[in-house]
Amino acid sequence: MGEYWGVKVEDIFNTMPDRFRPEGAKGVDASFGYDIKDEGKWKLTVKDGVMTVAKVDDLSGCVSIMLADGETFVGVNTGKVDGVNAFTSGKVKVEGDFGAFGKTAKMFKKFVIGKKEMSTRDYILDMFGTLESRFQPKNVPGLDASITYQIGGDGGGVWTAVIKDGKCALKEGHVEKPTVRLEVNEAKDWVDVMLGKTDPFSLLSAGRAAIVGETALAMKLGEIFAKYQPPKVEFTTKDFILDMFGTLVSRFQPQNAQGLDASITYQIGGDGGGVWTAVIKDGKCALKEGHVEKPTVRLEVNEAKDWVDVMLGKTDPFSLLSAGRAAIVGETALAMKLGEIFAKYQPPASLGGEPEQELLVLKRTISVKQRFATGPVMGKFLNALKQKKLIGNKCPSCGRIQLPPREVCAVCRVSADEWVEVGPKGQVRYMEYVYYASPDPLTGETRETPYGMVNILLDGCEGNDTFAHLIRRDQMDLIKNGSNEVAGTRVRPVWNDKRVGSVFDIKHFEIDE
Amino acid sequence: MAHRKKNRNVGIIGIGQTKYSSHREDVNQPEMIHEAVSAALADAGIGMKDIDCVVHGNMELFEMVHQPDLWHVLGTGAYGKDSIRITTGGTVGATIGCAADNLVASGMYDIVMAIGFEKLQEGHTTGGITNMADPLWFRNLQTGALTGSKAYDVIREFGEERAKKVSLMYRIIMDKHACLNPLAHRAFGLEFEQIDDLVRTSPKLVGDLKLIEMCSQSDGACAVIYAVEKKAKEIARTPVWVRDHITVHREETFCMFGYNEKYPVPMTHRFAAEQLFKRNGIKNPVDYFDVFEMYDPASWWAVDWLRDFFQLKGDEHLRLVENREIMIGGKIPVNPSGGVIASNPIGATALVRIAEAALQVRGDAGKHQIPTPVNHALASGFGGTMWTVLTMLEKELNW
Repeated sequence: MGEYWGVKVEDIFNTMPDRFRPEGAKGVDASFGYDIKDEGKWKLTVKDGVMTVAKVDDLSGCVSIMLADGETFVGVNTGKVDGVNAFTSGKVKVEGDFGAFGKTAKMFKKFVIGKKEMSTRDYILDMFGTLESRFQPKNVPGLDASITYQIGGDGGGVWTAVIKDGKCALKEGHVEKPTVRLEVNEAKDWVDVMLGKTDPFSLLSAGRAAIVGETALAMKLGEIFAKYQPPKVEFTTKDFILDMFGTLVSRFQPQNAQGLDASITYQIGGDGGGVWTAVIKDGKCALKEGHVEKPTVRLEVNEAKDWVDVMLGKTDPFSLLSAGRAAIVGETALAMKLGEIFAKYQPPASLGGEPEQELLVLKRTISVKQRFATGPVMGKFLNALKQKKLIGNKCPSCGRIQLPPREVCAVCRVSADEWVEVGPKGQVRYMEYVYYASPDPLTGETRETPYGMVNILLDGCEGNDTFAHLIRRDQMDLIKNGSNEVAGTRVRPVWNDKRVGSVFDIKHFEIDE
Repeated sequence: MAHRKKNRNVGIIGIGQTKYSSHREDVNQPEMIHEAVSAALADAGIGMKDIDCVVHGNMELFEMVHQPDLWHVLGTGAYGKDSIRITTGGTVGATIGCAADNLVASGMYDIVMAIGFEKLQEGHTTGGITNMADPLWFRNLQTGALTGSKAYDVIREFGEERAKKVSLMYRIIMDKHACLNPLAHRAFGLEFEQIDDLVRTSPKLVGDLKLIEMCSQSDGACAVIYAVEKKAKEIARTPVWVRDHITVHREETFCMFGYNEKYPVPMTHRFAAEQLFKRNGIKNPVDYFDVFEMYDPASWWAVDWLRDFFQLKGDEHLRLVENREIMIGGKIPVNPSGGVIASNPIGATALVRIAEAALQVRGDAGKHQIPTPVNHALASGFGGTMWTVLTMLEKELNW
């Protein structure tokens, strides 16, 4: 059983259930065989969007069988080896229906080296194991709530976070009457949300998750708990060395090696070391394991770890050379050009190594004080509110009464300068029953839901010139909309005692009984 | 309405799009835009040196960046070039398309690149939209782009059961299309058998507008290159000709909820389509067009607007959906790309409609290509309270 770039052949198969994409397997109803030299045979069966994979002795019944050696198989699956090249060169063969085999490519998310592919269960346990430590009491002072996570599917379970007195305690299982309960059908989906691979709204929309209880609290989870960070996996020197040489050909820059006909041997000693030779000719680069006869240049590095440091930019090659920990044999000038011939090595981002540190998210909160001039027309209207009056202006041409008033009638393009007092009572023509907790733009606070926005035809107005405001929250379910000549529920404004000439001089409307 | 013929013919010669997704934390704004710009240049087979002017647009202040075109200049390639920024709300993608077309048609420039983008993850979409409303009065009441009024209208006219089913039918058709589009943000793999279940279980947002029926919030960018006829013919294998476009506004207040037949609400979609078809001599739009890329923010709106755009009567629009005539392979495929419900990087969204319509005309849409020839395409933009932009594309320069 070989290990390539730190990955075993069986790792690829064992992670298939976690990497499976049902959307990529639509309409597929077949078995696919894999015959990996000296490693064994695996059979993958897809039917009705469900995938199973198992190590088998016999591959009969498969529509196609892929044959490859372990290194090529791991290489293609991890992106270290170009799949098309491997196929063209015969390192990968497919027997049977090649077209059907092609479908397997879309069925799986990419295998990422270095992740060691934690299972869904591992992630779920780690997420809840770290939940208490990720609690951010300063973001939710005074919060007294219990949040139940009911996670279904493979690796799922039920946990409840009880938050009280600025402390968070996690219990397994349900509690009585939690403030909010998140129900996620598949643990895998929840892992994707926590890792930022998918957004929770997509799950909710697709009916793969549900929120029961206080939706507004669920929306705040991102503030209540710090973002989950998966455990970082250490990449060994050997992993780095394998990854560096595995990516060497793809990092070759032919435009910088025009006319170059050379072989470069890397002789890396110590733990994780080995010998590789890059052969460059006709604008192409090929990597061979081992020595070649008379290489143009040979780099000898005593310790693999030093070479890793050079490639990661932690050490400069000249100090190694001066310290006698590395040597150049042959054409030194060519060795000096390696930085041009090959693009800089980038370790996989999933490693949590330094390159990931380049991707930051800068957080900003903007709070802006604004002042808007009303102009004389809106000014007159807003001032009238102080006297508990609602006034509109009438178009001299079509007769519509505009509420709130506008300087001109947009339809007739004439000044509308006749003022008319209307309402203050009227009938509801249409109510928006709002469940979604949107922010109140005047305060930035999330609004309490549900609430009702009513469009009222105030007495004296007609047609579509309705007036929008809020309805008393406890009366929402009693409101009937009007239609044609049938009037909707009669309502009246509830005025604030202190009126300043603003929208909120009317607290809300209520049913006029 | 006064409307002049074009001074010069204009063709679309390059199209570039990013993958649309909820998270693009791997790139910043100019880097993301650059992906679409490079793709469009590569598609046209030209370089930035060939572009005479860049038209840049997105939603104003959704990411709270003032004059983002300055920050983006290296990503857009506009460094040292004429560059115009346009921001007209939801219609902006369509408007930058109109502007690019006008700039080339006028003779001012030979090749113009229109770029629309949005990184909704970096700001607050509903917060942004809410700030659109009249600050003196309506802003405090605004619920963002969410409204249950269209669901209410359709249910009121056609009954609850039929209306709810037809909205979900539309939604699932869009998802089926999105599953064929590798760039789509949301492709769930929904099945028609799920209609009853989703009607019951999808969370309600406002009234009968459910979460599954509303568009996504996406990150992404789109670039489209417009060229004068002579150059278009030289550069592009299949230039897609911009025949005409129309923009119609109405007043920026919500005086539309009277629900009294005596006072019909003027719809800019119906009005714009009527004007556009009239001046181009199109009698039956459903027969004339081979594809319609519609700005469909929610399935309720989409179903209802089919009637306006296609000048239909009664329940003809519902039947188009119920009989799946709007699916790829149907009589008049709508949004083979999956539409706005699948991917909505708002400042790019309406330009994506033009881009996807043009790809269909070219026959280059890949797996979501309509199997029959596409000669005539329509693309719409929507925004503000009720604004409409329509663009007509043609395969042949023969009108």
